[in-house]
Amino acid sequence: MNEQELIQQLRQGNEPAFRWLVENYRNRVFHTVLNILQDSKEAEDAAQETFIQVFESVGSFKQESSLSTWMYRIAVRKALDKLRRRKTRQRLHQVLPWWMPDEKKSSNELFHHPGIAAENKEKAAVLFKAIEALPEKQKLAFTLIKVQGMNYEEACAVMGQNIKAVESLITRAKLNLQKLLEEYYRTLK
Amino acid sequence: MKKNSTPIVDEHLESLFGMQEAGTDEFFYTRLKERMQQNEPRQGWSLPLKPVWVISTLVLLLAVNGVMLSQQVKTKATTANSSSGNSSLQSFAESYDQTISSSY
Repeated sequence: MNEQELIQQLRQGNEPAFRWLVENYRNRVFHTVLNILQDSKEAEDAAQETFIQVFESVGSFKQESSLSTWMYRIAVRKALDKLRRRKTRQRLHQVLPWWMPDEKKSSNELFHHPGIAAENKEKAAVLFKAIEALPEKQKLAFTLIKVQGMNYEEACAVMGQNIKAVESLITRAKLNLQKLLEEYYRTLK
Repeated sequence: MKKNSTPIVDEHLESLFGMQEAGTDEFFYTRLKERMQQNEPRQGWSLPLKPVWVISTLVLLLAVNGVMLSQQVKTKATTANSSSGNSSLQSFAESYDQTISSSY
């Protein structure tokens, strides 16, 4: 099935076509949102929401990009929405600690990515923790390109930014990460 | 030769080398369909129990409570200030035109 046929069938609400799309993209979408959210439960939630939105709004998809890029863009937006809500919850927890007692515990935990080799897990967890502290755009650019291995062209399409802007975000992200990691190891001594 | 300005980052990035794609299990589609069915417009209504709504409702109730309380205090003060006994009854009766007048 080519992409045009798939879009046509999705627009007609064809369930086998939707199932095909989900089965073929669920891992890639989940992987993308997991790298951003660093939480399996929230990533599953964001991945589900992505496919629901794809199903509901494929009729308004203008085909200015490929279906997969459009889908990644939705996934990234869903993940960022969840990140913002998490930050709001954490701020609320600081004001009203009794409101959500589990919030502090979850914000202090290190994220161990399931796809990383056991011998690298600790180092990767420290890196993920530092990435979490980056400003949103830097975090997104660094995660898509350096963590996920997306090429610049695709990352630019997903982020809706030009290549120079993305390169600048990566440079700033790396410098900030260097400072964050230096600080982390200094506090350990 | 240009000096590497982010050696710790590069060292940590090496730990991601060979990272496998993290995927979902094969029941993802089943869970997704279930959620889509649940999301379909429901009959009836449900209570909005999100923290933002709960807090807003509480703040609104407290504000209404405060206004009511201040109104009550103001009314009491006005009553106490006005002259007591018959004169207040008189003014009440006058305001409603209930004074006794005999036509005989």
